[in-house]
Amino acid sequence: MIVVRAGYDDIAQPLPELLVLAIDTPAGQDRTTARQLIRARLRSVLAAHLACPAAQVALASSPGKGLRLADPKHRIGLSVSHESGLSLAAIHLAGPVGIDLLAVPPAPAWQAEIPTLAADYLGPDCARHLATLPPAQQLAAFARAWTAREACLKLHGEGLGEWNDGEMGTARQETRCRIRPLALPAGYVGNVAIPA
Amino acid sequence: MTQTALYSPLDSLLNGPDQPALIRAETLADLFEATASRVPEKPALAHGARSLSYGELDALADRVASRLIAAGIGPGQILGLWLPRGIDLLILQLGIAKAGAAWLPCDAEMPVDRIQVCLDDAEAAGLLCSAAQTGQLADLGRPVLTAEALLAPLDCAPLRCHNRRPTDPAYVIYTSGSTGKPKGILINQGAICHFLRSENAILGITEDDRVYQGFSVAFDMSFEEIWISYLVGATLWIAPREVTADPDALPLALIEQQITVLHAVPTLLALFSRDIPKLRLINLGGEACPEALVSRWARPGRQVFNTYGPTEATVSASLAELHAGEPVTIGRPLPNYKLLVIDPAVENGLRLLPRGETGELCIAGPGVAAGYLGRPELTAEKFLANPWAAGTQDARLYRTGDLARIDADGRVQCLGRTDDQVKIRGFRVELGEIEAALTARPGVGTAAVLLRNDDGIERLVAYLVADREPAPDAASLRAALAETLPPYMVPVHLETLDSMPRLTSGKIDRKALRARPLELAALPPGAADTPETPAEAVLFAELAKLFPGQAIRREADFFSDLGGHSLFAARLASAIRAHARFASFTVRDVYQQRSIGRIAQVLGETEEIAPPADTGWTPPGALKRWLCGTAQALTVPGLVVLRMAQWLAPFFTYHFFTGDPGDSIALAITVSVAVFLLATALVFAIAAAGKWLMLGRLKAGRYPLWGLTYFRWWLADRLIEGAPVYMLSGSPLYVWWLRLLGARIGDDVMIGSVTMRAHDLVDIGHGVSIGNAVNFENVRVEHGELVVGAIHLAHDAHVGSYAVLEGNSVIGEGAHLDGQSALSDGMRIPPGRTWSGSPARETGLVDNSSLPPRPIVSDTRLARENLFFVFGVLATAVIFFIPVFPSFILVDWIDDSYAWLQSNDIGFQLIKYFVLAFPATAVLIVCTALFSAALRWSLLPRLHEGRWPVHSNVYCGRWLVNQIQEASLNVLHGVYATVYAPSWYRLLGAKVGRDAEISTAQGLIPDLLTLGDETFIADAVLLGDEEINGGWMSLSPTVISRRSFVGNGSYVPDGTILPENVLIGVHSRTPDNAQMRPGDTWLGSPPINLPAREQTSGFPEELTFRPSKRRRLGRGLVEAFRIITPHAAVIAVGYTVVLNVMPLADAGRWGAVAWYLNIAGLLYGLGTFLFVAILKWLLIGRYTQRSQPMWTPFVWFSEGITNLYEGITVPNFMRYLRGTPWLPLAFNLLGARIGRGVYLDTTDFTEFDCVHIGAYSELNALTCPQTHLFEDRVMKIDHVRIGSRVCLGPRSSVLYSATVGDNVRLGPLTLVMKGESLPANTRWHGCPASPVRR
Repeated sequence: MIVVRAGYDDIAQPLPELLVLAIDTPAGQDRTTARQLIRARLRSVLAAHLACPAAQVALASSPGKGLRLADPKHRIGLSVSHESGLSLAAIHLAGPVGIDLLAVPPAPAWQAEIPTLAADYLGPDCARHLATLPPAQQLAAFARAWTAREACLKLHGEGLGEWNDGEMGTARQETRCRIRPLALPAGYVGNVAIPA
Repeated sequence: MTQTALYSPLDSLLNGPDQPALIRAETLADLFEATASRVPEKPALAHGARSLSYGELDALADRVASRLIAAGIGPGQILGLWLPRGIDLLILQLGIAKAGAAWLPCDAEMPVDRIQVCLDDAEAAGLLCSAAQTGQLADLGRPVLTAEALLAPLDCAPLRCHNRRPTDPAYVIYTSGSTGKPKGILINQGAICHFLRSENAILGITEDDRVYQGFSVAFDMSFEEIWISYLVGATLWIAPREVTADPDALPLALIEQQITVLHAVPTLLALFSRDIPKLRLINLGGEACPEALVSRWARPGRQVFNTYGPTEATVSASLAELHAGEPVTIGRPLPNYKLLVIDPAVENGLRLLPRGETGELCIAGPGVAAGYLGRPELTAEKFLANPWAAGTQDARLYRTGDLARIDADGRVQCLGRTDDQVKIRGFRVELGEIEAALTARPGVGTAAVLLRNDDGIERLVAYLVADREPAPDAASLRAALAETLPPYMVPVHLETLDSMPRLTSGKIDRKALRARPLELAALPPGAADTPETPAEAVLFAELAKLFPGQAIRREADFFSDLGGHSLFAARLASAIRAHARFASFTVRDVYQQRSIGRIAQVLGETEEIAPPADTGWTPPGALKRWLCGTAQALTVPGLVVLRMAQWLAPFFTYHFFTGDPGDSIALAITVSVAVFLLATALVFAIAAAGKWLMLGRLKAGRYPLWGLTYFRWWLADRLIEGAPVYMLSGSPLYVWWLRLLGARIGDDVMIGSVTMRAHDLVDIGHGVSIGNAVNFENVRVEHGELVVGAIHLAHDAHVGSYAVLEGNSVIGEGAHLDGQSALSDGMRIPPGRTWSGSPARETGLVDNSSLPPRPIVSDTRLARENLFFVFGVLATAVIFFIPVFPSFILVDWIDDSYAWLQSNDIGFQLIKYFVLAFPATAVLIVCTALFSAALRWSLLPRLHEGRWPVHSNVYCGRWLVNQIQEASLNVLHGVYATVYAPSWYRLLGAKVGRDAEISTAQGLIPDLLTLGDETFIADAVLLGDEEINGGWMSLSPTVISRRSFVGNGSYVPDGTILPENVLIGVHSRTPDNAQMRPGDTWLGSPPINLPAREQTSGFPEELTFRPSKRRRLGRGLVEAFRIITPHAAVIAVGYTVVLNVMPLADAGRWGAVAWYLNIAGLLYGLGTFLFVAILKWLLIGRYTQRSQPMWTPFVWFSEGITNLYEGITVPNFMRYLRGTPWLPLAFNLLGARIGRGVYLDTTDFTEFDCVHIGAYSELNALTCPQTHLFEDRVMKIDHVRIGSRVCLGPRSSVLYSATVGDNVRLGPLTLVMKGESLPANTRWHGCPASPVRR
């Protein structure tokens, strides 16, 4: 069960197997604050779960690699995604996890790029599916497909690549992970992926 | 806080309906007992198989209460409650209520330390738990009572509590406080009882409802589930723990349990994959509810509610009924509750805001708690006297800390948290603490910190007044703060003021500060770089579009400085690719380089080489095609006869020399064998002569399809294909043969087996080694042209088994192309590199360090070896021809024994000999099998793991084993994929487990092969062949463990140890042993580990893994028939023909003999086609999409027809139609739907009706529309749809359910996955297929 908790300072202990935390963050490009906020939040939730002081919950991250518990003996998977105004963190007690979040503005300047972006990164099947949708729905559908793919890539610790680079098709994405859509505040779309 | 305030109707104050009748002097126990006495028989609780009626629940709770009272528990006392989900938990909870005490719920998995903290804080009188949990509680320091003890039957009437009062505590719930110490909220009996009545006055839950109990009792929404049900007499269904956590199983369970009422957090509901039709009421709470959820779940006959409230105001205080399409609010106050929106700046006194303004939401009414246990300061801060109170019930108000406004319709919109109330952005931030930290810095006189929202951007902003000159600069202050404060408490922006605005009271005027415009520092001039190269110009321009207003500097990091994330990176890469020059730029370049300068540098280095999709080609005209087709048709009889001659000539010879009483069978056999060898040599000679006469030396280039050059190449290719080169593979004779055909091949070259399409253009250096079943497809048809190219392998190059090379490709000196890899047109492997995969990519330098230097071999050794191979080839050919004679003798004997069998009617003869051929063929097969086994076990040494020079006796032994296998399989081809296959391989020395299925495995070394129980080797698998490289042969054991599956066309290098239950996909290569784990699925080349596989289930094991004896027998019979039939056909035709031309031969009319043999050969070829066609239509009819388990007659017949098609129709007829316009027609007669002008260089079709190919498509050699696969021993069949003008590169494969759009081009060794759909006008390559970009 995925529980998205926003604004409440209570997280039921014990944690559900998969927990998604949401945090309102400052709008804007600078993600420093958001990063700090979500890490502190993760620390406090994990501290309660691990029954140790938050200060002792060491999180490690490096460019290109996701956030993780520094102590390698923990199997707990973490994944974080930020957007202007909202940050999400996923805690998966049973192993790796990938989460991705996208803010969907009502009608962005780049709506026209969607067919190209979909064909380049989401594969021809998805591109064709998006093309069949009315323009008003394309953006949200694109965001859903995008975040699903990103979540799956993050789950597997892989970087984004163009669709041709030995990439798996959409059908195979489903075999690689279990994607769960997230119910988020209006304007945001997100997906969380756990191993299939 | 005694403030007075004016009240007006337009103030932000909402009163819930005034219903004093709901406020009663009662306790939770009273409320339950009233229901229990009203409906004692009604089911109250159900959990798994156990259920309790209200009467039973009442009685059990009385036991608990009685024991608690006996233990001295009573009103005012608090008991911890720590049990797993289930009925006992709820009985104990009720028992505590009946004893008049309060409970402190702890979630079942809460750590003991935390329980201890809460129990201590609440000064609890004890803890109730289950016996199983007591082990963890040794150091609790207070009484522990177990459910087991409390629930034991009583000896006497239960003790009762008679002094329960509404003012007694009912429960304490702990929430974690920001200070780290949990804070307890104590709710009294009156408050919770009132809440239950108040909320249900709106919800309207009745005793007819079935309510899902899913919340932990530690969460106060559980009161809505449990106690509203107790109030009305509804039935609670307690889900098993595993169901509550499974969003797929839960809705199913709710449907099955006929649940009518669901209380849930929105997130849980959002996860439900299906509707729950009986659900009439959904109550959401605990978090913000997305609008989309409402439109999904609200419908006529079902109400959806959103409740809001902090624990401090007893579960919920307001409620909204939600409707699709309307904004989600938290509605209006519950009966007797009040909601107020006040100015959050309470230091200036409580001020009710005008309606519509946003402020802090407060709650008043009978639900407001007394405060926090043992926290008077905190209580005083959050629980205030209500200046707008109308009576005693609303005398106090609770400040929620939530921001809200009341809309025009009088509904409350919740908008997040107030800013100066420590909790911001999900965090409690004490602004005063930041201010204190700031003023502690030298130079800072006064400081005020605000959370501002400017243009939708929330920031912590600090305002300072300096007390010295110069004022401290903002950057160093922030750095200093970051040392002591958590990062989120460091203000984003600091502003120095001359003086701080103040109120008359002397307090800082925060409102004035808030009203100040924010002075954000402008970008310093010169911060942005100017582009200096064309690549930078493009990059900077695209970055400017993505990050408007931001300075683009070369050293800036795309991600951390510009704030890019993956979608930005993707948009950047796509936008840059739109500039034709940079079409090969990829998003990985952004990730790898990160800094703008380095990205620009990489961009500058990339060149445009992506060819545009060629959609403009014109297919050749019909006239040309049919002219070519006519010419081809004229040559086909000759080709068929050439093949027929190989066996009809010795057949004829034998019978020419027998039949008369004095004839010597020995002589007949000797002459017959000699004729066989002569005929075979003649086929080689004709092939070579024909090649040079018809084609001469073919030059690289492009020639029109169906043109003259095409026809000449086609005929030469057919002649060469007709020669039985399998006899030569792995020997120097093979190299001689290829040289004879025009290939330039250096010294000491080892070739396992290879197909070459233009020998003249193959150039192989010294010391090259080439594995088995390698395809040099240097002639292919593409877009109406024959594309001919050269292949060059420099000295000491190595090509692994099952590799595919297109023309115009080069492997540099000492370079390696791994097995199951594809080197396509234009690819060059640099010297000394290893390339692998489809398409091949560099994987590193060739590592020959483990290999000793190439052994020196003497000329005499070479000469002796050559002799050995020549002799070996002849010997095996002869030896495996011998078993045909016993079958001749048998047929002749039977024929001669019964006079009534004699007839001149050809039809009768055919049938007679066909019938007689069955025992004869059985003899042939048994003899062949015994011959090979005898040879295998007498003459040849067992092969062992190790490394030997290729010029060694071990290699010669290995070669001989292979010869025997190949030669015998010429006769035994039919045993592939039958129940007899495992026995055959065991006979050759392999270890084969029970119920293994082996289809057409190639290259295997029986001595070193182990197949576990229930393994499955699909068609055309190259299984553990020897590795030859640098003059050395290495042999390693290959093991396929139990229940593992190797898919069609896969490559399993020798030394592979496949763990149990591993699946290797179609056309895949197995990964290194270290990478594989039991249960893995690997697909593709290079292989990719798929974390899950599609499970085929639903068929009984009896039809998949555990067939009955009857089914085994049935399959055995069908397969025996299919093994024997091809040979029986040959013998029947052979006898009939020989019998009828013999008189002509006797009369010396040899011209007529040759003519009749020709006609007979052609008719035989056609006959094999008609035979399979008729059998297919009779036994199968039309193939359609289906799943059929392996042990069923349909599969046996289908596989039987496929085997007969491959065993007799292809070699005797269809293969001569490859590359002619007749082949599509022949397939259409078998049921395929192939459009006009289609070029087919493949006969590899199975479920013909499922093959659809549009006009003018081109299927090159070894391509395969894979219309079926076996998955978990279930045969799955579906259509393969290939559009028009599609070009499939050599050995590409399209799996079932896939669709290939018009004008698609697939590269070599490309795999289109099942269900995949390739859009029109695209180019794909790779295994699995991916779009071609460069």
